[in-house]
Amino acid sequence: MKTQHAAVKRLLGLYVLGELGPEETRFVADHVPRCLSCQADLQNLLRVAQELRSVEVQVKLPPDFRKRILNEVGKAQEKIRQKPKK
Amino acid sequence: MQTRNPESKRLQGIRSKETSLAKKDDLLVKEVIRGNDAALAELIELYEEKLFCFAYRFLGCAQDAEEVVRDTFIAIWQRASEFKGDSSVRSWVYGICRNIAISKLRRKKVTTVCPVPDIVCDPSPSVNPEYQAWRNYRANLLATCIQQLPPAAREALILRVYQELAYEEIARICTCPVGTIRSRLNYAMKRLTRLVMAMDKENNLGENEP
Repeated sequence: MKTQHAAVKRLLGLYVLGELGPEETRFVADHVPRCLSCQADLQNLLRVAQELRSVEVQVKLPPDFRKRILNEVGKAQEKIRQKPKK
Repeated sequence: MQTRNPESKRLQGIRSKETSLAKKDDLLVKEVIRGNDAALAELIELYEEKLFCFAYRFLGCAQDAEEVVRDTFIAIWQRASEFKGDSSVRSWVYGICRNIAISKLRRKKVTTVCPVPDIVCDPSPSVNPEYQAWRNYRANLLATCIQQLPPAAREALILRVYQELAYEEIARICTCPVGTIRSRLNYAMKRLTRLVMAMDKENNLGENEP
């Protein structure tokens, strides 16, 4: 039981992200209803995992981003091309 | 002959799309090696947003993220001939970006998140203002907590949860075994939960929606 508990504890983070295979998922799902400590951990982890997805905001490129990148890369290319070859 | 179910058809569609994108990437890198600047511009167009999102979430600062993306494309141009095709172009590009972001983190000791409101936008702007404000508050809180994760756990979380890359690809980018990435992701989730709970307690605020 103790070994199972320790093993489940090590999987809970991946479990809430839906990252476990069917066998590991079953292993966790079998243990949790019988363990108050894991239930408490799982509840907190689930809340944060759900929030990670539900409040996800898009990161948009700042205005003129590409223009600046092309410009900066062009300047760097120019500088490197002008360097005398050894 | 077996009839394929819709899910396997969909997955096959995704795989074939990824294969054709990978071929396009390979061609672009070959052209960059030949000195074709238009090919480099096309690579920039293909990867700028993905890399900026990764660097921004990793470093927590838009200006630093922009510098990382710029330096990544300069490095790609300089080192294109080093690309041997052992991995996909995407893994190679992400790997360069990740290494530059880590160097920046070491040099600048960036530890605080500085979200820039005009680049972070809600995908559904029609929601009511109170809910919108709550979402922004929670999003900022999560971003702040993600910034407090150790870099190895942070990159695993960002590459898997936000960039949705496969474990094998993340392992190639971070040059470590798949098992290590899984452990880091598991740790990241647990640590993040503790940080969010501590911050909620500190602010004396629950996560309850308005």
